[in-house]
Amino acid sequence: MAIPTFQRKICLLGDFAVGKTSLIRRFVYNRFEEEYLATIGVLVSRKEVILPHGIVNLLLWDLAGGETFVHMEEAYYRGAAGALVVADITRPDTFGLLNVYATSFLAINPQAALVFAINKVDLKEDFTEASKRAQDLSARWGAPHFFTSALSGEQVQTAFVTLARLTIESHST
Amino acid sequence: MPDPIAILKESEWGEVCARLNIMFAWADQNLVIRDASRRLRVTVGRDLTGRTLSEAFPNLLGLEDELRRIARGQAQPWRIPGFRLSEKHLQPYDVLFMPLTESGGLLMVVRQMDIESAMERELRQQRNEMALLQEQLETQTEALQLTQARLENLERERKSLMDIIALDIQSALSIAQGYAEWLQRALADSAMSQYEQALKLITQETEHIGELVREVQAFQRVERALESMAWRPVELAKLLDAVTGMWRDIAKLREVDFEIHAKSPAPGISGDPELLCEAMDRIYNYMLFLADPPATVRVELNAWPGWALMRFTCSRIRKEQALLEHRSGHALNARQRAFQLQLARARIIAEGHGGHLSLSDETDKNAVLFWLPAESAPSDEALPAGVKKPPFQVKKRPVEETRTPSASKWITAGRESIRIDVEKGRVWLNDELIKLTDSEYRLLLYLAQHVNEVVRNEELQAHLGKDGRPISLASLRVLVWRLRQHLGGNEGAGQYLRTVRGFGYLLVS
Ligand SMILES: Nc1nc2c(ncn2[C@@H]2O[C@H](COP(=O)(O)OP(=O)(O)O)[C@@H](O)[C@H]2O)c(=O)[nH]1
Ligand SMILES: [Mg+2]
Repeated sequence: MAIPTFQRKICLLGDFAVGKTSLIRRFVYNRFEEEYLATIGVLVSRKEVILPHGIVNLLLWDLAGGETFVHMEEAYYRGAAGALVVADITRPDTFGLLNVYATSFLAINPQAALVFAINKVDLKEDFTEASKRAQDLSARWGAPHFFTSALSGEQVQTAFVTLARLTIESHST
Repeated sequence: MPDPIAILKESEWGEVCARLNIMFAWADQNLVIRDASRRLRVTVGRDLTGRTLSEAFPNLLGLEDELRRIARGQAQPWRIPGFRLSEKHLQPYDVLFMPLTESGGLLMVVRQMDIESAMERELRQQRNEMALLQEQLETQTEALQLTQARLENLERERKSLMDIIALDIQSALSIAQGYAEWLQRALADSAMSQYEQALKLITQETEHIGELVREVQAFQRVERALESMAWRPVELAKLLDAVTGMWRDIAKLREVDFEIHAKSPAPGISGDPELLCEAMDRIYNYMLFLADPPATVRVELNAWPGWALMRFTCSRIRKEQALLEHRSGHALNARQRAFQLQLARARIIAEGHGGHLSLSDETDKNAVLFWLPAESAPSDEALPAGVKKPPFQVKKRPVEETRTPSASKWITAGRESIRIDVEKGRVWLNDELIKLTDSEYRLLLYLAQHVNEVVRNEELQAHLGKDGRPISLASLRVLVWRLRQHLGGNEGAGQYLRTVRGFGYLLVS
C-alpha cells in the first residue's frame, strides 16, 4: 500500500522583522543569517515532514510583512491549510497584531489550522509577561503556541511539525 | 481595454504576447496544460503541454482544490502578485488564474511585475528597515541615558568627595599651621616635651593631608580611566578569605565576628585583585563602623546570571548609625564623612570593573551590595569612559622674573619644554618661569640629570631625604604628583614625567 502523501500550503504571518523568513530558513535549511531582508512578494519553500498519517509536503509561503499588504492578503492566504503566526518577544507591539492576522486569515480559510510562534526567545530572559499573553491567545483561538528562536533553533521544528499535524487532522483531504 | 480572450482567439499567439507583454498557459478542468505560450516555455526551460500545473510549477502544489474551483467558476479569479514560477526563479511575476468560460478550463496569465509595484515593494522594504533602525536607535538612546546617569552619579560622588576632602584638608592644615606658629613663638622656651607633642601633632596632621591627597589622586585616575588595572581572572572566594583573615584579629578586639557564605561554584570574574582587595577592605572598615558589638558581619557570595554579588550585612547596628541617612552627605560629622569616603572609594572600584555598589534600603537597611560582572571580558572599555576634566589645578604662585635668561648653565628635558637654570636654581616651562619648592626642584633636577633613565624609588627617596633619612614612598609620590601639576599635568609637560609602576620614575629628554 502506498504511503499517503499530502500537499499543504502554510502561510507565515506577522509584523515585519519578527523572524518569519528566519524561521523558514532554520526549518528548511537549518541555517540562520543575521541580515534582515524584507521579502518582496512571496517566496515558496518546501519541506517534507513525516508523520504517522503519512508524508506531508509543506509549502511554506513567506509573505512580505507589514500592514501595507492588508488589501492584498486574500491573494496570499487563499488555498492555505494552516498558518504560523509569529510575534517578536522583544517587541510587545507585535503581539497585538497576532489577533489581526489570525482573524483575517481565518476569514479566508475558516477550516485552517493556526499555531503561534513567539520568536527570538534567545534575546530575553524573562518570559512571564509573554507567557501570559501567549496563553490568552491559545485559549482564544484554540491554537497551541511555542516559544521559538530561529537563532538557536529552539522549538522551531516542533512548531512546524505540530502545524503540519493539525493541517492533516483538521483538514483531511 | 479589449477582452484578452477575444484577442487571443483572433491573433497569432506570439504577436499577442509581444503586444501585452504576457505569457500564458491554459489547462483543462483536471489542470493538465493544453497549451502554453512560447515565452513561458522558454522561461521555464521545458515543454509544458501534457503536465499538470503543479508539475510544471511546483510552487502551485497544495493549491489544486482552489484552482479547480476557479476553473469550474465556483471561486473568483485569483491574482497573486510577486509570485515565483519555481524555487529557482527569483524574478517575481504577477500571476492571474481565471476560468475559460467557452472551452472550460483555466487560463494562467503570467506577467513580469510592473516597475511601479516592484518599486513600491522596494520602498516598503526601506521603510521597514528604517522602522527597525529607529527601534534600535531608541534602545541605544536608553543605554546612553543609563550611562549618562552613571556618569552623573560619578560626578556627584566626585563633588561630595571634593567637598569632604577640602574641608578635611583645611582643618588639618590649620592645625598644622597653628602648631607651627606656636612653635616659632615659643622657640625661646625650654619645655622640650611640649615641642615634641606639638611636632607629633603636626606630623600626624600632615600625614593625614597626604592620605587625602592620595585619595584625590586615586579618584582622578579612576575618573579619567587612567588607573592601570591589572586584569586577570580572580577567585572571589579566595580573595574574600584573604581580606577577612587580615581583619579578623582587629575585629575580634571589638567583639565583631565574620561569617562567610560562598555559593559554590563561585562565580568567575576578571579584575584587578589589588583593587578588589582594597574595595573589600573599605567595606569591612565601614561595616565595623556600623557594628554594635557583639555583632557578626555576614558576607554572602552569590552567583547571578551575568553577575557576581557580594552582600555584606551586620547582625547588630549602632542605633545612631541605623538612623544615619547613608545616601546624603548632610549633617554628618567628620567621622561619619570619613566612613562615607570608604564606601565612595569602594564604589569607584566597582564601577571601574563595570559593576556597581548599592545600599539596600527597604528590608534590612544597612546591607552593602557589591556587584561585579561575571566572566567579564578583560577590556579597558569596562572602565568608566574618561570624562575629560582639567586636571586638579594647583594655583601657580606669582613669579618675580618672567624674562628668559640668556646663557648660563642649562639642562633641558621634556622635548625642550622644560629648561633648568642650574646656576640660579630656576625652572622654565615653555618660556615661563615656574616656582617650585625646594624638594620639587631637587626632584626635578635629579631626574633631569638622569634624563631618559628610570630612577628607582629608593634612590629618589634617599636623594630627597635629610640627614641620611630617606623620605617615605608616600611623600615621594605626592612630590611627583605636585611636580607633574607644576609642569602642566598629564596634558602638558607633566606627561614627560613617567611612572614606571612598582619601580620608579623617568623623565623624557
Ligand atoms: N536573535 C534573534 N534574531 C532573530 C531571530 N529570528 C530572526 N531574527 C533576526 O531578526 C531580523 C528579521 O528577521 P526576518 O526573518 O527577516 O524577519 P521577517 O521580516 O519576519 O521575515 C533579522 O535580522 C534576523 O536575523 C531569533 O530567533 N533570534
Ligand atoms: Mg521576511
